[in-house]
Amino acid sequence: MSLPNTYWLYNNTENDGANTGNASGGAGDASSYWVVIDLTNDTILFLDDQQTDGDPNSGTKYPVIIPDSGDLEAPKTFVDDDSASIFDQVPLAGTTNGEQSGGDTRYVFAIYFDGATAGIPTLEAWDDNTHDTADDDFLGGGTPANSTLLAITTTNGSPGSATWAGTPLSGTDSSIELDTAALSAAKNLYFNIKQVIPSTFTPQSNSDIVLTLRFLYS
Amino acid sequence: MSWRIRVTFMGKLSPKTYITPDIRHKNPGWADEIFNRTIESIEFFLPTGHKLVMSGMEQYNFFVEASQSIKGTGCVKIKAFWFCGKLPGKDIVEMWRVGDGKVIRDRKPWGHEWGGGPTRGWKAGSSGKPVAMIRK
Repeated sequence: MSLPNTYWLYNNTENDGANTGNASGGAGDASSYWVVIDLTNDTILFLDDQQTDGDPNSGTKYPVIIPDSGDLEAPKTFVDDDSASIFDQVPLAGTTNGEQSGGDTRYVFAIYFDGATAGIPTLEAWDDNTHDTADDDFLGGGTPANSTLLAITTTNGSPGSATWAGTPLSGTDSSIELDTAALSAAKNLYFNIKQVIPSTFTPQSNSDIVLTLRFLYS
Repeated sequence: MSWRIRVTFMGKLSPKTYITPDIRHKNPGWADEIFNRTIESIEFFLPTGHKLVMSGMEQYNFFVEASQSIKGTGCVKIKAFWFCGKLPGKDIVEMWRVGDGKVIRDRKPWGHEWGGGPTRGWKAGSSGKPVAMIRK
C-alpha cells in the first residue's frame, strides 16, 4: 500500500461510458473519450452558454451571469486545456437544469488510482492550494452549506436523478467520499459536479479555489 | 532518527526491531512482510527530539494523509502522519496526527476512525496496559 499514483480525467463526449484507458484515458466504453487533466496548468470552468466547445482559451471567456431571482446552475462546464489551448467542454457535467447534456450521468470526471489506499478518498474544495481555509464566496463565504460547488459520487452508480442535488464542497466540513471503502486495488473513482449561483451572490473578479483529492496510504 | 518509525516486535525472533527510513521521502512500507509480526510497541521520532510512543494496543495502524489539487503543483503533498492503536477489548481507536507543525491526539470509534469511515492496514498487537504518550 505504498503511495499510489493518481490521475484526474474528464469525459469530453456526450456518451456515458467508463474510463477503460485508466491512467492514459482515451477511448472508453460506449464511445466515451477520456482526457487526462494537467493538474498544474488546466482549470475546470463553469461558464455561460455563450461559450462554445473548442473555443480558443486566448479568446473571450463568458462567465456565468448571476440570475435576477432564484438559483442558476452554470449552463456549461469546460476544462481549460492548456496544452490544446482550448476550452474543452464536459457535456455530461451537471444536471438537466444546466444547458448541456448533464443529468443522471455517471461517467463525467474520473480519478484513477493505480494502487490501494488505506482509507476512503475524499473530494474537497479549498480557497487555495494551502488547504488552510475554505471561506471564499464561491465556497459559501464561511457557511459550507452555501457553497456554489456541488458534487456527487458516481463510482458505484449514477446519481439516480437527472436533477441531483449534490453535496456542497467547502473544506473538510463539507466534502464527498468517492467510494464506500478504502481501495484494495487500482480503481477508477467517478464524480459529477455543478456550480449553482444564487441571485444573492456577490460578483467575483477572481478566485484561487482548488478541487482537492485527499487520501491515505501506508 | 527524526521522521522515522521504530517498531518492536513480540517474541525472540530476529530482528527484534525495525526502523523505517525517513517517511517524508520514502514509502513507509507498512504493508511489507516485516510488519506482519505481532507488534509490541511503536515509536515515532519527532524533529523536536521527542518521540511518540504506543504500546499495549490490540491492533496498530499507520498511514500517510496526502492531497492533490487541480491548479496546484500537480504533485501529491503529504499533509500528516497518523498513528493509531485499538484499545484492548474496546471499540475505540487512540489516534495521533502529526502534521501542520502540530501533534494532535484524538479518539475515534473503531471502524469510523478517519473521515467517518474505516481504514485498512491494521496489524496485530500484543494487548496489555495501553500506552499512548509523547516523551523526550
